[in-house]
Amino acid sequence: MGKRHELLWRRHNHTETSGGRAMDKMQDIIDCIVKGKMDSIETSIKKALRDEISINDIVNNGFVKSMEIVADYWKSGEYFIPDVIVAAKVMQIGMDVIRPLTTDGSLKPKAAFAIGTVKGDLHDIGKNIVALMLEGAGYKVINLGIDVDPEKFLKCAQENPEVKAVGLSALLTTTMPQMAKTVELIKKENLSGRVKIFVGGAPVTQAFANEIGADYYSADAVHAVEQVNLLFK
Amino acid sequence: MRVNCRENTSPHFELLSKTQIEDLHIASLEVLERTGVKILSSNARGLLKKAGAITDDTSDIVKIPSRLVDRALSSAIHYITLANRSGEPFLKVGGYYSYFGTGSDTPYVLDGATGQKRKAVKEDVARASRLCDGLANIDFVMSMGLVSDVPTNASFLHEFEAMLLNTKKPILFCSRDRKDLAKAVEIAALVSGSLGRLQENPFIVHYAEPISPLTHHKDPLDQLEYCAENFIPIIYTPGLAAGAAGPVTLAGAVVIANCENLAGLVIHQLINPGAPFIYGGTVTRLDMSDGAYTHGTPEHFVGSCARAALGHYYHLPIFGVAGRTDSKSLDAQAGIEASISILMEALSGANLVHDMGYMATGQITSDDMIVMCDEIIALVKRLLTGFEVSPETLAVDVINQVGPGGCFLDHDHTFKHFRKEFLLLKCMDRKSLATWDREGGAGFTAKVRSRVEKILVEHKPEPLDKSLCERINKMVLAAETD
Repeated sequence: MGKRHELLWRRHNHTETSGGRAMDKMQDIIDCIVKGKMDSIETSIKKALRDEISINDIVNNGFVKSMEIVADYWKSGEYFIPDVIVAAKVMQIGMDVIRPLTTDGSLKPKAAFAIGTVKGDLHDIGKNIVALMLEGAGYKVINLGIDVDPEKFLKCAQENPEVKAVGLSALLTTTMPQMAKTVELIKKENLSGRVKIFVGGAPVTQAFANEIGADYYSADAVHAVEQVNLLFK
Repeated sequence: MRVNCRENTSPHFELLSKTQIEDLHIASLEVLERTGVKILSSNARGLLKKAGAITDDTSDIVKIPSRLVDRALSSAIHYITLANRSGEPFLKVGGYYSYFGTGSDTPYVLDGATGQKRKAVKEDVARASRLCDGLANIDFVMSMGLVSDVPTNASFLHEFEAMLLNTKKPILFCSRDRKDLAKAVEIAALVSGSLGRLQENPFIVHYAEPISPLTHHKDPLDQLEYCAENFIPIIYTPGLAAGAAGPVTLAGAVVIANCENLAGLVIHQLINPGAPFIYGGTVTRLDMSDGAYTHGTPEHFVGSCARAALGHYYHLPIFGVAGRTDSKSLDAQAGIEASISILMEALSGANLVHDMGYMATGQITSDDMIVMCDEIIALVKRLLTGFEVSPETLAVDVINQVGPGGCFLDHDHTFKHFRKEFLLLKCMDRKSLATWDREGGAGFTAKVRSRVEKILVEHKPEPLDKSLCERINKMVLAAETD
């Protein structure tokens, strides 16, 4: 962790009112996620559990809050994509630690999100960033990969009732029409009540999203996560 | 085991070969011996005569034999550590260390609020000093504005006070004459604790100019003398336009500037061998259409590199010049001229590179231009850092883990290195078109403007002790009626 992160972190913490042991433990968890401390998150969670902090508390006031802080830093230009990804990864490790401790299913993913790059387009990275960030925010992600034809998107949505949103990615202007076809097919099958359609990728614009009838357009990964959060609040 | 290994840790640049540099040096010695220089101070002429120069009191011409130049070069120091205002070592002035700062005494400033030029006032110097204090790539300050709202006889001291109170970074300053200079030094000594402490850890450098071609007036000579006597670092820097104050051929113009510098160095070292002297000079050219003295030309940039090459040849600390433009606004021309000049001066290895933020050929200083230069310097530093080649950076294991078709973005290696490998600038726009649209489409100059405002609101320079400020102000005000 660089000096810069430390400074940011101190500045943020300065505004926090930390009172008592439990608060300090929660602060440790937030610290691990925001600062990308992969090796310490498990210990921090265990310490918090020993202090009888509830799992729900850890998720809502630890994990969720951390990712909100990270998103704020990113929006203000002080954090960059790798910072956000690392934070999401640390949170995933945290999830893996507490998931076996619950029996009531309260930690089931919030919703599932199917994502893929449309037919004819072989670009992977932008879509994978969105997938990583969504996982980090607590969603189950079904990554359909690249060159995904409209039928495959439809089939995935039909076969997985937990899928509440489908994300279509394109990097090429030439494959953008495939987005229109996919949207058309999903709408035709009357799934649009349950399944919202997100579009994104370098050449895609809000205007294009409106034109083809997509429900949401996201300019970048953090924007996508924000919109998904609002949708499933 | 790797053998016969040599690493380039930064790009290399060489304008002149050693033979060519020696040709410039020998030509300069010939001019000093044959043509001589005009020395308009009887004191300095007397010193030179005593040392063996041929003087003529009717023409004030002094012919300087090369042995005096050799002696001066052998006694001059190669390196000066400039301190900050608190006396902590701050800049390594010598060798191949390049630092950047503003310029001095422009009659106008570009008003940030109106975008129009207006006469510089003391508050402009204070504000710009605060701004520079908050800019990571500005290492020292000069006054920027020539202040118009104080009595003329004390204007340099007012500028000095405005800088002193608003930045901890080293100050390069000008003065009217020997008396004016002595007052500034007295103030600086007060800040340092004593003259001895100031001499030990100097945070000020005086700036003086001979007049091209080959003329040394009394005031700069007196200042040279005062600085030598008191061990205060001095920059002696001619500014000449090839085609008018020097031959139109750049080599000849560089020779003129070099002669002026060497003559200054000879006098300086005769007074106090080993006193700190900084080799300077601006070789630029005349605009052949309207006779203007120019700042943004390629001839000027190579002329400056030649001066730096000579400075390195002499092992003297070097004063450089860059980050300025002939343009009258923060436009594409300003960006082009500032970028190329900063890159060239950094490559040449000049030590104290001044004039960041100069516009309209030194008529206007602009806060926005200073911030633009700060970005350009960051960019140039990144360029000149090159990149490291090592097992960690070759990342063969990482490549193997990610494999064909994979993504490196979420690899720990990316997180570990991206801040060091990628320059992350404040005002340059590199976002996607969609983001740019969403964020309102602010251009570079608009972002520069808001960065100026942000720094001026948020950055608080370390203050000087209040009673010290009061004493300084009394001294400055007293000088008005002196």
